[in-house]
Formats: sequence, structure tokens, C-alpha cells
Amino acid sequence: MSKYSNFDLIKKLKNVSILCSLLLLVAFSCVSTANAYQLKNYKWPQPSTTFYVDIPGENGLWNDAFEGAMYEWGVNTVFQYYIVSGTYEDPCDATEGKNGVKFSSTDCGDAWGSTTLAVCHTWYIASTSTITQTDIVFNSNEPWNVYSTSWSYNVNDFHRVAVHELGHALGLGHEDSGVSTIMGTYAGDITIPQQDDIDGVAALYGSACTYSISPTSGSFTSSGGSSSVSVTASSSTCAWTASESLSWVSLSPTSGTGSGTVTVSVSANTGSARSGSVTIAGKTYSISQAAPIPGKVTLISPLGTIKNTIPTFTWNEESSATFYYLYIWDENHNEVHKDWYTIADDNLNYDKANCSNGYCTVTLDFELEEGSYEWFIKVYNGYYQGDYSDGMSFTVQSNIQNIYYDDYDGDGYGNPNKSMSASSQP
Amino acid sequence: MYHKTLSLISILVYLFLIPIPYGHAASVRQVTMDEMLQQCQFVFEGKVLALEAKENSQKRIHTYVTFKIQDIIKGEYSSETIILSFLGGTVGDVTMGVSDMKVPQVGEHGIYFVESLEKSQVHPLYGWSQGHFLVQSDNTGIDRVMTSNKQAVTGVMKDMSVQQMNSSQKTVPLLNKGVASGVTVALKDNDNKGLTAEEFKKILRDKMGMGQ
Repeated sequence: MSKYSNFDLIKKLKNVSILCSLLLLVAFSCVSTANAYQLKNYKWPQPSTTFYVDIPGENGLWNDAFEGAMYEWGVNTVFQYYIVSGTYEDPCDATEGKNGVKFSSTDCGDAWGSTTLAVCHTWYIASTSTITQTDIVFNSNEPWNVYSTSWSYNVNDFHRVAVHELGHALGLGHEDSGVSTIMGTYAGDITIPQQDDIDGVAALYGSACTYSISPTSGSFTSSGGSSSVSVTASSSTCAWTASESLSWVSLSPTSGTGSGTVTVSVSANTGSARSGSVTIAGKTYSISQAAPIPGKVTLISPLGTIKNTIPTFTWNEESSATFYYLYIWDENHNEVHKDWYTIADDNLNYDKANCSNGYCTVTLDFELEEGSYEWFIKVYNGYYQGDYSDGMSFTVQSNIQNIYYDDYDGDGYGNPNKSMSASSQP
Repeated sequence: MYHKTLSLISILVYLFLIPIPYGHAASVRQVTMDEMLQQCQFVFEGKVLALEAKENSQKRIHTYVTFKIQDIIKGEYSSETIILSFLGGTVGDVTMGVSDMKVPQVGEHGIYFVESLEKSQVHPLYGWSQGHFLVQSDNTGIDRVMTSNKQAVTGVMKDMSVQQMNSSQKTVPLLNKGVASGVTVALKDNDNKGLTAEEFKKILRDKMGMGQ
């Protein structure tokens, strides 16, 4: 008994599995998203058309919403709706070849009936399937507003209905296979063209060109150089350009079609670090270039024997420097002092090196003992540290005696034959 | 076991024959069968005899469709034929297309819900394709009813049931095919299991007889 029961259970499970599989199979076949869009048998001869838009009322709400709806079809498609704002073209007049839009209590004389919200009329040449005019009329007997929330059954959203009708106006039909689309027969929460709609436009007019570049930035040394940037285009027919406005950058080639490569050449930099950007296939390529490695500075003083135990160090200014490094050691090469000095006025984390007229100075904030020293300076320019300068030696001797010469004959000059040594003037 | 499997199949069938809840078309409002029956002035079964397209001075084109009336379901009409005007059509090399307009073609056999016999409307049928049903013979020669999208009509729900479904399902379902709310359709095109024309007309007449 138990054996048969288990067998029944297995059969049951197998049946359920089969049914579930069938369900999934059917479900997938029903909601297939591949190329579900529906195309009318007509289209514009070019991927664009112009609407004359002047819909009175609500302080421009309808005009703005319709213009917004036109814009939506240009996103990720090659199709462009152009607008002539503030100019009315009667959508009931098909003799002028101009596209118009309006609210009306009838559809150009025909009663709306109880269920019609809006209609898109399209005139086309049957032999060429070429559209010559399209017009959209909204039923003014219906309640309208503009909103982006879920579809309200009390008031129609003008914007999404306009997007839908504009889809018809460029050649799309209704799509009810279950994919996400603005072209479904019934409006819902979708307010803008979906991927299936974009694919439909591509089927009618071709794909919008999209580009990417790699890499998107480059860093160059002060000596310059070149770097390759790969351009990837969505189609071999997609054209692009490369442009720059930097005197120190050149691009080659400056245009292309399909995927390709652009060489970015950067000239040598003799000044401070610099950066900028160029545009390749509509994308920004950022460039930064380092300043050159700073050279040695020339030391000026202290030199020789000095009496001042708090000497001021003076050297020639380096134009690219942002910091100077002062290093002092004694005669036995024991480190006496080392520190970075900024040239910036607002960097309170460092002591300042005062630079003017081609010279820079730093005064120690402590006394040196008597003795012999050697000092060095090296430069940092924000990117690189330069080499140490050649050393300069000095000796601190606070009790050093000056030599005085007596003006024996009173001529205003000392007599070299009559001298004396003293720490101060005798 | 058989009974349970049958129940499961019933559930699956129900899922795929799910009626469409109430909604709005981008250009046409979705309606219910009861509303159509109430609001239509004339409902008939007929066959298309002829089409004629005419252009007015503003280049608007209407297609005038002549039907032979075979059976009247609602309303009265003294002639054996009726001409209905549909906006759009082709005159010479110029075609005026109207979004989602399906003009019945010569030889078409269908059941048509005419909103008004007096006014010239953009679309003479109530709710556009919602008031447009086809009648086609299956492989056994029985006339069966299909939507204008050629989906077999399998049933018509009562409005109360539709409203109950609508209250629990706020969004438009994936299988929406642009038919009136409450009209159930078979998933597979040309399904022979749909309602016969006589069954469909009986449902309509019963609904009217119930005062709905």
C-alpha cells in the first residue's frame, strides 16, 4: 500500500513539474522581449520632423509637456523632433505639410465618441511609404493634467499620452506583447520610451551612435610624449571628431568613422605643472603634465666666518619651487638642522621662506653654537624634489676681533701700517 | 489524483485566460462589455460588402464601409445594409493613417458595436477595437468569435467580477491585448476553443435581458 502511495506521489510530482515547465515555457513565450516593437508601414524620409506647438492654457503647461514629450524620443535614438514654439498650425489642415497639435472638442469635425482621448493622424505617400505630415489632436472633453505618478483613472496624463502619440507620429504602432513599452494600447505607469521603443526607432531610422574612449585620462612627465586613446563606436558608420584648445597638446587624427585610435601628443613642459582636457568622440580626455624636475639652486650666504649665531640663509630663487628644504650639518657631518620651508603665505603648517627679487631667505629660530657648518638647499616643485645644491661652509665665531686701522694723517683713511685688533671699535 | 491535476490545469488555464482589468488607452479608453452594451446605439452581426475612401478639402480622408446586416443584437435599423465612416484611408497615392485604426476589410464577417447612428465619429465602433469582433469558421465549420487582433474570445465576465479583479490588481497586466475589460481571450491565436458566434450573441442578449 505504501509502495503504491509513493508511486502516486512521484507521478503527481512529475505531472506538476511538467505542468510548471509548460507554464514557464508559455510564460516566456508570451513575454518575450526580443524585437517586440510594431512598425507602421511608413516613416519620415529623414530621422526628424518639426512640430509647430502653441497649445494655449494652463500657463504653458501643455506646451512644456508636449515639448518634453518630443524630447523623450531623442534620447538614445537618432530621431529628433524639432519644435517651432509659439506658432500655431492647425492639425486639421493637411494642405500645408506642417505638423500641428491642439486640444479640440471634435477631431476636426468628427465626434470623439465616448472613449477616444487623442488621435495621431499621419499622411504618407503609399508608393514610397514616406510621411508628409502628422498631426495630433487631444480630446478637450476629457480631463487632463500632467503628472508622472501612476496612471490616474480620474484624469489623463497629457505628457505620457503625448509621448505615445509622438511614437505613432514617427512610425511606431501599438505593441501589446507584454514588453515594457510606451506604445502599449493601454496607458499605465510607463511615461517615456523604453528599450523596445528605442529598438523600434532604430529599426526605422538606424541606431543612435554611441561612443566610448579608453583610457579617459593621461599623465605626462615634464618632457612630454604621446599616448594612444582608443575610440569605440557603436557602428562602423558613426563619425566622430577630436578637438583641443590647448597649445601644448596636439591630436591625430582629428576625425574618424567607426572605432579607431587617437594619438595625444604633449609637448615638453618648462614651467609649472599644468592640466587640461580635450574632446574625443564627444568624450572628455583629461591630461595632466608635471613640471620639470627642479634644478640646483645657488647658495649665497652665510659663507666664511660670521659672528651672528642666528644667521640668515640666502640663495637664488627657483621659479618652479613650492617648497625649499634647508639642511645643515657640522664639520663632523652631524645633522644640525633640517626642515621644509614653504613659499606660500597661507600654509601655516610650515615656516616660510621669503622670496623676492630672485632671492630667498630663511632665518633660523635658534642659535648656532660656535663652530663650522655646511648647508644645503633642495627644491620641491609639487611633483619632484630636485638635487641638493652644492654645499656652502661657514664658521660661527662670535668673539671674532675686527682689525681697525688708525687714520694717522687725518686724511679720512686708515693707515695700513698702524692697525690693531679688537672685538669692538677702540 | 486526476481531480487535483485537473484543478491545477484549471488554475493555469485561468491564469492565461485572465481578463483585462479596467484601464485607459493612450488614445482610447478601455471599456467593459456591459458599458459597451449600455452605450452603443446599435450592435449587429454583419459582413463587409464594400469600402470607399473620400478626401475632403483639408485632405482628411474617411473610409466608408458598407456592411450587410445579418443579425441585430441591439437597436433597430430599417435597411439591410449600413454604411459606417472610419477616419483615414487611401485616395490615390496618399494615405491618411490614424493611430490604431483598423478598418474592416471587404469580406470580413464580424460583430460590431456601433456607438452612434447619428454622429460621424473618428471611429464608429465603441472603444475602437474593443467594439470590433471577428467571426471566423473553425476547421469544423463552426463560426467562432475572435477579437480584432484574432484572439479567440473564450468568455465575458460580469462587470462585478471585473471590478473585483480591478480592485485587487491596479496595474495593467502583461497579457493585455487591447480588448474590452472582462473579455477573456485564448492565449493562442486561432484557438478553436473560443465561443461560437451563437454563444457570444446569447451572452450579449442575456446581459441586456438582465438589464445591464
